[in-house]
This record gives sequence, structure tokens and C-alpha cells, in this order.
Amino acid sequence: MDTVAVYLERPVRTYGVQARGGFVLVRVDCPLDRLPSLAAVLGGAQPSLKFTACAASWSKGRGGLTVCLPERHAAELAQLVREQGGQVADSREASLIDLQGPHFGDRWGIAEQALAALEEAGVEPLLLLGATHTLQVLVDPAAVPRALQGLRGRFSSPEAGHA
Amino acid sequence: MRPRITGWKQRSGLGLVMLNGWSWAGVSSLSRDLAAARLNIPFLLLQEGEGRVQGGLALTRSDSRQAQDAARRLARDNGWPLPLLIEPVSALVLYPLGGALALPAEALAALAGTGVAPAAMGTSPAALTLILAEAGLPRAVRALRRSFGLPPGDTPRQETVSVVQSQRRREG
Repeated sequence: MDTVAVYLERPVRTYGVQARGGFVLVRVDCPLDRLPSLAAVLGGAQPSLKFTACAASWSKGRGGLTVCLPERHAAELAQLVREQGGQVADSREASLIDLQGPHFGDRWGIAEQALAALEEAGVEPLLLLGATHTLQVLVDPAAVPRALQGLRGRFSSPEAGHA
Repeated sequence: MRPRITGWKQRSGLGLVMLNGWSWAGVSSLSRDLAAARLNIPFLLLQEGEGRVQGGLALTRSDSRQAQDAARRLARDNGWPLPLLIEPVSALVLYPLGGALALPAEALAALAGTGVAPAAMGTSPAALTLILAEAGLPRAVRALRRSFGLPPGDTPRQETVSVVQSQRRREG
């Protein structure tokens, strides 16, 4: 079934522009040949590890997994990875900014607005993830006020009364 | 206990433009060019790694070639690494996510068992998206179906969405 919708919005309307803190972004180096053992140990962790964002990419056999999870789970993840002989390439505090809007994944210009807002605010994200109807931006906690100010200039939200 | 999914869908005919080694300012420039050409980015995964951007953008195949051309121009003009285009790829979306790492881990483990690795993977609050080479898609679908206990023969629904963005401001 086709869904047809019509949009032209500046600023772009969202269901909310929210920031949440208290996370750690853990980046795990994982060549493809180590993926089965890493996936098995992460999937089998009891109790299951909770996370808020997860990303991975591989190109020419190299790559790895990035997980944003509550601080209390980060040490456990790192330990499981090391027990499997894996390497935590990076681990740092992060805050998550969520932007959700109608058909975000089907409209041109959404990523451009987010990247322009962050650039104008002088913020370089740690992770930018756009999937289905959501953009998730991970930033250094100290950069949250600037990032929010920039994003709220280009994305309106119910909590701000929409522009 | 193994995680369960209640639904999955598939979007075929995509290309993944990888921008490894670019700067955020470079990615922002490219996104401006893509928006000016009205090219939508259904899936985007970009992260900071060793001071540079790692990851890429998935677009429809025709759009991904335009995007690669635009990225090549920027790369040549600015001395950035040339973009790599991986195509054809499909996006496979599994839901609900449930907030536990068990689902993405189970999906990765199932795929690893078939020798199919996602070129990219990302989550939204509700779902897990896997970007897979189309050549390996049938094997991936079988493995995921088996791993998540879906009925034999169940296949992901094909997603076709068309969104029109007007040049005129919305009334009301």
C-alpha cells in the first residue's frame, strides 16, 4: 500500500525534541570473523542489557558495534566484550537527543536540517542515527544546551508550542 | 529466553553511500546538496571515530548514484576520501525493539551463522533496521525467520511509501 502525505514545514514539526542524559556510548571493535561470538555473548547476557541506541557497520570485513546504554550497564558490557577477547575502542559519557516526526524517513531535507542546526551550534555529534521516523543524536553532555538550542531553531515541538 | 518480534518489513532497491573519513562539515555540505536535489535519506548512520566520521547514508538506488556523484564532487574539490557505494542493498526492519540488547544481538548472531553481515545496522526507539546486500537477503530472511520463531514461509512485508513535499506553505 502506498502512503501519500504532503509536507512543507520550516521549522520542521516534530512530536518532540527531547534530551536525556546519564548514558555511556561504547564502541566495540569487531572484525566480521569475531561477530558470531560477540553477538552470542551479548544476546545471552542475564539479565538482558538495556540500551537506548545501537548501531553497527562493516565495510571490507572491518567495523564494529556502537551501543548507547545507561551508565550502570556500560561496565558490564565492556567486561563481556573483554571476556570474549574483544576490544572496547572507546567509551564516553553521552546524552541522547531524540527527534521524531511524521514520515521523517520518507522526506528529503530532514537530515540536512539536523546537520545544519548542529553545525551552526558548533556541535559535532558522537553518533547520528536516522531510521524509520526518528533521528537520534548522541552528543557530549556538555554540548546538550547548544545542541538543543540549535535543533529547536530548525525543529518545532509541542513542548515549545510549535513555531 | 530468546527475543521475539511481532513484525518485519523490507525496503528493497537501496544503495549505501559510505563516507568514512569525512568531517561533519563535509557531511553537512553533502546533505545540503542532497536536500537541494530533493533526495530523501531513508536510513542514516554516522558516527565519530578517531576524529573523523564513519558510516554512510542509504537512499534509493537511483538517488544513491546521484548522491555518490555529489559526494565525489565534494571529495575531489576538498581532498576528502572518495565515497564508496554499496548496492544493491535492502533495509530489513524488525519490531518491536523492546530496549534490550538481546534483539540486535540475536539478529547479528543469526546473520553471522549464514555468513551474511549487515553493511549497517541501527535502531530507532521502536525497531531495528538492518542494511543487507540483496544477494544475501534470502539467506538472511531464512535465518532470521528461524531464529525468531516466525511461521515457516513468513516473509517481510514490502514497504512502499511515497511522500510529496509541497513547495507551498501548508494552510491552517
